[in-house]
Amino acid sequence: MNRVSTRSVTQHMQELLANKYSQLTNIQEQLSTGKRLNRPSDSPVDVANDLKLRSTSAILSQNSKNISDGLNFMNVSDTAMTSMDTIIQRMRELAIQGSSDTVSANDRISIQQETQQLFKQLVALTNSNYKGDYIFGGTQSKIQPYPIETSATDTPADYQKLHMAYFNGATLGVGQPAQIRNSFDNTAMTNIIPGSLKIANGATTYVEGKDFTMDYVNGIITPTNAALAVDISDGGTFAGPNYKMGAFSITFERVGQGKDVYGTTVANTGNVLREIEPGIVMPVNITGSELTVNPSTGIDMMSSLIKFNQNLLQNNRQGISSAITDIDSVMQTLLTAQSKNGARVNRFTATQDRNDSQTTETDSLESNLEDVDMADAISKFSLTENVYNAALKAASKTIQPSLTDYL
Amino acid sequence: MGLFGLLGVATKGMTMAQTGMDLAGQNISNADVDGYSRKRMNLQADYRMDGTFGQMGFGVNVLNIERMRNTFIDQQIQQKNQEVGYYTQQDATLQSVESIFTEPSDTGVQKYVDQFFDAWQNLANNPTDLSARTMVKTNGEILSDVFHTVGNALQELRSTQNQQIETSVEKVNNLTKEIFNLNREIAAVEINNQHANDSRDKRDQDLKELAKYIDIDTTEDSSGQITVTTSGNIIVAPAFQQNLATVSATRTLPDGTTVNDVGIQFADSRKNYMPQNGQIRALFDCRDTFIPQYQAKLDTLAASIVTTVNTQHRLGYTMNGYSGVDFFDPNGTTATAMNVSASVESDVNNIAAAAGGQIVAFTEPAPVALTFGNPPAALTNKNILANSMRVVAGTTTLVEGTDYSVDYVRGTIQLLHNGYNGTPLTIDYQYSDNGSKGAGDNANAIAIAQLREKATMNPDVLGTNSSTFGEYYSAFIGKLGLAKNESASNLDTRTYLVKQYQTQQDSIAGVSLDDEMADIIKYQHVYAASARVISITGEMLDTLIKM
Repeated sequence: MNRVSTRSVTQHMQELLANKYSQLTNIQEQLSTGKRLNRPSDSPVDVANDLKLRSTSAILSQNSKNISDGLNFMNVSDTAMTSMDTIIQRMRELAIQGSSDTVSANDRISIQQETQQLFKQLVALTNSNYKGDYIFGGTQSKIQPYPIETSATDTPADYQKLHMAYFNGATLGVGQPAQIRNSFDNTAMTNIIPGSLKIANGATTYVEGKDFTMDYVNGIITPTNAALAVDISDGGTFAGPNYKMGAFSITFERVGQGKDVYGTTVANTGNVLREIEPGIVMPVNITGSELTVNPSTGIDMMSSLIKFNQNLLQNNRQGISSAITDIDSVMQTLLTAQSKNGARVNRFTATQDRNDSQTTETDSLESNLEDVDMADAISKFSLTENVYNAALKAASKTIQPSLTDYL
Repeated sequence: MGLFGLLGVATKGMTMAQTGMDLAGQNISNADVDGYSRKRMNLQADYRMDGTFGQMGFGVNVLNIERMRNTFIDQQIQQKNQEVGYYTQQDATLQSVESIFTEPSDTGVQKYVDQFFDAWQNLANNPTDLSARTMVKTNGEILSDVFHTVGNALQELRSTQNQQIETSVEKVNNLTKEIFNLNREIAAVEINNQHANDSRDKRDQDLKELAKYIDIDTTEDSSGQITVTTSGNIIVAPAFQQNLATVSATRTLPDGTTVNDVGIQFADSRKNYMPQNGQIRALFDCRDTFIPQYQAKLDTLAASIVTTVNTQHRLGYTMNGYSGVDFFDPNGTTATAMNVSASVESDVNNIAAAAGGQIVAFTEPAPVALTFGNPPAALTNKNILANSMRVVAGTTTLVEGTDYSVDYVRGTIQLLHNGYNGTPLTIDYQYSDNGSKGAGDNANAIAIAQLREKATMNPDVLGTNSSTFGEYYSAFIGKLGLAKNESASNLDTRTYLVKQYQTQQDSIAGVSLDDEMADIIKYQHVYAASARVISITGEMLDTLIKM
């Protein structure tokens, strides 16, 4: 029989109690943190997997944010395009109305009053923004893709201003077409909005059709009145303000193109991207050219609608009729862009759904790994507690009696 | 034998009973002393020669007092203690490493790596938003800070090992000194054929303690003195004792910082010493292998994040239209040195969210001759990559900022002094064929955000990367957990073995109060009975005298 010393009894008992107590604290920690994994050694494999799942979950939640942000972006685009659609529908109705034989020149001019406003509204819609970024400007989101530029008045003090116009051609005369140009950087002033052009010299106002004819799309003026020809002729090559100073003035509005700070025309064709699931990056924007240029007919929204306006203003019934086909083409471009956008919205929504279910799945996997099964832990806790109590009781009984009690 | 002789026999009995009481008392009072062995007296019946009966009982003799102990078990414990010492230390250090990494939690490295890349996604969603840019910068800083914190804590832990080595060496020296002294005491006592029980208890205890620090072997000579050797070197001999001494040496770490590391030499021979086992060995192993291993992993992760993000970031365009800008300081490729680059730190517009066009290398077709004072001359291309330009006059390469200046965005060059007036200059550079595509270009931000899903680390034999940042990190945290578990179970088995031996030893050497109480009663009765013998002998003598 093994001899048992008093010390070993107490020591053994102490170790046993400490052991049980540490088990108890361990379960207590799990219960109070709710976590089964509190340090890598709790279960190295589970911790490694848990870290991966946490990362996956972070990526999923970020992708979900990307998707909702992209959806917002596309919803703003869609709203803008729907409004544009309504405007073009109205223009088409007016074109049909204007192409009628029974409409007089004055009626056409009053129709043009409306189409001019509609056109400006359309241009404003192409400059819609989302969170301060122009949505149809491609990646050039801080530059208006189709700014409406207003020419400056022609006082000499404004000479350095942008969009001041001058006319090239040394010997400008009646019947000789002249290009309206920007006096600052020499660019041709195209896409002038019909109806916005005003030419005057003091009290004299020059009238289109009587004093000059105008090609608004290309910005070319042809004087038919010798007085105007004299007014706008500079008699020399460009070297400074080569239109006549003084009472002569020319003002207009035009649809410009986005330019950067160096004056370079920027492309509006870049894609704005969102990552919607790991490795899958999708564009969310409809670019300016997708919105305005019909890829099959090559018809441009801005120039064709300006031409339509010009025909109304110039009482060109034939031109108005042909504008209807152009407007149809413009509408087709818009619808294509809208359906492209819609398809993306669908894709994003589907991905969002998948993302949601993946998130739920990952969260539950993560929870399985790291969270404590409360029922299990509580029952373990009571069991350990019982054992601990029993051990305490046994210990108190074992170490109490001694021979001295009976001497 | 006369009656007086009887008195002698009874007196001897009383003396024995007294000694026995003495021992029982001593045993009881030392019942809880570590390493105490219970003492027992060896008795022998004394005798004298009797004319009639030959050998005749002459009371009892206490031959000697012996300690109850199995020294073989002590040696076993001594051996196992070396491993207990080793794994206790390893386990404690690994536990510290574990708590430094604080995984899995919301404050570990992983969380901040994820946050960093989330910030890039957020920037991709809001490329023109200044606050989104600031968030990327801030998250870059936070990530660096977290790497600093973890890296520094590991470094701190590493240098703590050095301090512990010094403390432990001191303890070893104290123990060997004590063992040496005890050796002498034992020899002095035992030369008279007596037992130096308490000194031996103390020495056994010291040896077991010593074994926790270093590996030891012991041999006992006939005089009872022991020789202690460690890794083949004598540290305690009957004639001398040798101290260990710590020496410090400066070491350069991978991140360029220097540390003073501690080594051990024998104080007298100045021979370098490395224990084979025990706590001190564990300290060396932790310092030189385990901790650096995790430091290296963390550094690799930091370096990989820095270089991978930088490589992608350099391809992109900043808000100001520049490319080739680093996001992280390219020199900070360790956990403790990681930092957001100075250019991003100074202006968040230097974060390259835009992808821009393609990078093309270009040499100006004809040498360019410039004149100081003239307006900047236009180069063939715009959107030149910062720092990509080389201007050579004959064999001299001109220095940017000293000899010439470049407007990278506009693509113009001008001289800064008249030293090269009219000299034909050969100019080559890289430019982006598409330049910046505008403020809304977020392709590079997405490309950077995607780096966390790409295998960027852990190249296989063919050099193809096989893990993402997250996978690499979780794998090494998993390995850390495994190492910690291994050391804990190693420690557990060793501790269990030692406990087994201890229990065995305890059943021999341990004091049982019940035993001692029984002894006390026994000796009390022996004493009383012997006294009774004396008093009755006295009465007998009385009778005799009165006759």
